[in-house]
Amino acid sequence: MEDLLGQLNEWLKTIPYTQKLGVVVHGLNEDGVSCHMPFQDKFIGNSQLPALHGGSTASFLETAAIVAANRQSIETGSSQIALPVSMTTSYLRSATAHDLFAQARVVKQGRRLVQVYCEAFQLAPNKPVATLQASLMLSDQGE
Amino acid sequence: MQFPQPIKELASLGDPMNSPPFGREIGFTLFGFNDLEVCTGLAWDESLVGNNQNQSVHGGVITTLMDQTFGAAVFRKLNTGKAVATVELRIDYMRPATPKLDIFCRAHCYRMTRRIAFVRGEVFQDDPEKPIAHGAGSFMINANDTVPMTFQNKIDPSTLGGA
Repeated sequence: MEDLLGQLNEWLKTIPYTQKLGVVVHGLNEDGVSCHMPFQDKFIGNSQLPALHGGSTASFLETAAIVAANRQSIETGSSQIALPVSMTTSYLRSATAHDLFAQARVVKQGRRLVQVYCEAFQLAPNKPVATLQASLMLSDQGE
Repeated sequence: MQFPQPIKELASLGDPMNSPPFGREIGFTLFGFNDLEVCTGLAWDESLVGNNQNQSVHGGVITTLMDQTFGAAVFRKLNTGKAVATVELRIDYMRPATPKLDIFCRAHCYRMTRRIAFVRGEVFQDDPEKPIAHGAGSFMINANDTVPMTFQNKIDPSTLGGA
């Protein structure tokens, strides 16, 4: 389990955009992962409030969903990679200038598709700021 | 970087660099707008890559571009300077983005009610007829000055005036 966590973080470090965001995987559970994105000034979308940009929250949620969907492939050393097909992001509250945390859960792991549900929160885990529902397609690398 | 299509009746842009920190972070550019749509884009950059196999940009970059452009479409149509907040954004990724090509977005606010605006749009690269992603979103308008219910109850009806 510890090893897999390291593997997932190593994998995230190879992806330029997730490295730019500074997303880390900090926990694993049976059907999902939890992720953390420490606050950076550049994530702001509204300087007056201030509030995070909807795009930075969505980018984080999407990354968490991709990690959750690819976890099995990475764990088993499979060549399959899960790529996003459709995603819906719901914004529940304005996200403040703080760290973001996410809990991503694989709702269904199929042979071709993976469905993931993801919730992002900040200071209070029971007050999510955004949710994401994603469908990802499994395809062989290089396809 | 040049928008791959002529933008008709290009209105005065004001200050195009007036984009928020995260917009600047990904290189968001506002090209123009007319009554029908808002046209934006961002220059391809290695730091936006989300898939090392095919070097295509991360889905989050496309989401950010759409969120910003869709919001601008509502803001523009609303024309009151009031804040706009995203309620929900749905995106279909139709094909991977081609590496090293700039990315553009067109958005159209097709319905506006008193509180909610509806927007749809596409993200494409060199060919506007071959979008790489399609999106639809709903936005809350005048998001910042919604009066909470408890205060609304205390408003003196005589101050509201006739319609």
